[in-house]
Amino acid sequence: MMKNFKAEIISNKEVNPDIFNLIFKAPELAAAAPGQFLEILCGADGVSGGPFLRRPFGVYNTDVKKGTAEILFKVLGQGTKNLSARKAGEILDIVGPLGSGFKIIDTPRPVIAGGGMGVAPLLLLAKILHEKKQKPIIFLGAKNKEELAAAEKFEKYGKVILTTDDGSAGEKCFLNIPLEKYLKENKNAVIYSCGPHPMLKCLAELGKKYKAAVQVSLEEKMACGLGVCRGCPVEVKNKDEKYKMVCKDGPVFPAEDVVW
Amino acid sequence: MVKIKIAGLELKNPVMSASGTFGSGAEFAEFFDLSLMGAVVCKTVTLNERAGNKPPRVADAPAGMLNAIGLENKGVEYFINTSLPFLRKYDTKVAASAAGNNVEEYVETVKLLAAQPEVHAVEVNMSCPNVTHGVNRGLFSQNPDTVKEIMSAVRKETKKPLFAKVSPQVADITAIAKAALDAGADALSLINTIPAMGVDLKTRRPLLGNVTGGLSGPAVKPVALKLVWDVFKTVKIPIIAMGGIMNAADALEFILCGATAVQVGTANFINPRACVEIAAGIEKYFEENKLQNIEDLRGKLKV
Ligand SMILES: Cc1cc2nc3c(=O)[nH]c(=O)nc-3n(C[C@H](O)[C@H](O)[C@H](O)COP(=O)(O)O)c2cc1C
Ligand code: FES
Repeated sequence: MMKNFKAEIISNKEVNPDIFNLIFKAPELAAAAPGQFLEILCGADGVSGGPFLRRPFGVYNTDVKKGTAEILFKVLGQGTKNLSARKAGEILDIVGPLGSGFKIIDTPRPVIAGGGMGVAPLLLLAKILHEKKQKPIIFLGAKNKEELAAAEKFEKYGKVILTTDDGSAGEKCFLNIPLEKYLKENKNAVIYSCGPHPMLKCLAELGKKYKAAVQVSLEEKMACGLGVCRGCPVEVKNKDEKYKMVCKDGPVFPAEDVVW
Repeated sequence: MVKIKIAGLELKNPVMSASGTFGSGAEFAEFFDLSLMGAVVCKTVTLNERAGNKPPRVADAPAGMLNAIGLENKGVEYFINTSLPFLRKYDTKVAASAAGNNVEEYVETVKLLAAQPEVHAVEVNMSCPNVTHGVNRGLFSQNPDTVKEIMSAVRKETKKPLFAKVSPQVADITAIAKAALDAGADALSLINTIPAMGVDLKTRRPLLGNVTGGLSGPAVKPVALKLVWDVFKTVKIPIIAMGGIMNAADALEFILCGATAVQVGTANFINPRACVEIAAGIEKYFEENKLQNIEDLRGKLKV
């Protein structure tokens, strides 16, 4: 159930240039499902000195025993810049867990595909698939080696295949290249994905071509995060309504429902 | 408790939600007991379903936000059948909000809403900056004659209290307030968002898919205070004030400028408990300052 709570920061580490792993106390998030997200206040007090609206972050990891949770983010604007300066002992104002996450399917061919910072909500998913004794194959792509910030953490949970735009790690290509190879040989895969829009669109097409069920975690500018303001639409097809809300109906959607 | 009477309604406190920022309350009921609110003002509905604008629909602005939702809603019937029943179990007042593309749609929508036992009042939204009409693509409430026409027409349909919700972007707000009063409005809801836009220099695109939208949040508070003050001084219509109210102090400032009640909008996105915290803060201020009722503070700005 979603809550508004204060969370003490345990650590906030720059794991790679401009990429931060923030760990905080949050027993409230023990039941957070993979793909769910948090709305975090990133301004000084929500009014002055920072972005006004809360910022959404996927739940990167949780430790139920320790009562902690993590997010992984890249410094992109004022909100993430402020967040990157927050220190251990300081307090975060969080609303969450929000949205509906990935629908975990019982399949012999689970595939995880994360592009850039899209890896953030996928680590918890990989962990849970692993706990369920599924062996996901994990495709991670980024601009360069530095941006593959979480790659090592995924290795415990499945086979990891890396791609970078500049070839500094893994194959020099987009991740859809090795992924397509895999799909050619493995019919009826289930793909859980998060990343830049063009990548997700490409995965949606691959899904259609190779009869793989693709779930995509989408991003959209948000205000409330609760489904009330109608501020975060994604255009869908074959539904009663033209738009669904990324914050409440998603952020995870079946790729075939989305108008790309 | 700082009970108030406005437009013939008794409210347990002067705090209402602002339309469009609170849905019909269900999501916020997970954060606090809606019975602690003076009133719940629901998201504006229209006669027919509206899909709303293309994204992005919201953006940050300095000390505020921009929105161009485009009055997305599933239509008045859906609201009556699906959203309203939820509010029955709460001991608070409910105001439905109506808008239309023309006078006939306003009349039809208000008639349907006012006929519902759960609806204690109807707010007539004539000021959504994301819906324009007429030759100059203006907002309904920018013209006193149009305000009079709409409010007189809906007035004939119901005896329940009617709030006229108007735009801040007018040459003379008192002319608008007077038109609403003359046409039978029981209160004036002031202000809707200020027409505005934002630009992303990096992409050279507008921040909103609709290009233009409305500004709300703390940035608009000084503008809203002035408009409330202007109306209070010259027109005898009860005022429901809003615009950037984030805490009890903000709300009390509006009461000092002449508001009988306040609405909390954008603050709900920053603090989901904003409405109840503001109600509690007002109560505390009244106790600490030994104020008996709202009239001890309303319009008592020392000038
Ligand atoms: C996202 C959003 C949606 C809104 N939708 C409506 C609406 O449907 N009907 C309406 O009368 N006002 C609507 N408003 C305006 C608010 O009710 C309020 O008048 C305005 O935001 C100023 O108050 P605030 O600064 O407290 O938000 C909306 C405002 C926002 C931010
Ligand atoms: S952010 Fe308000 S509906 Fe999604």
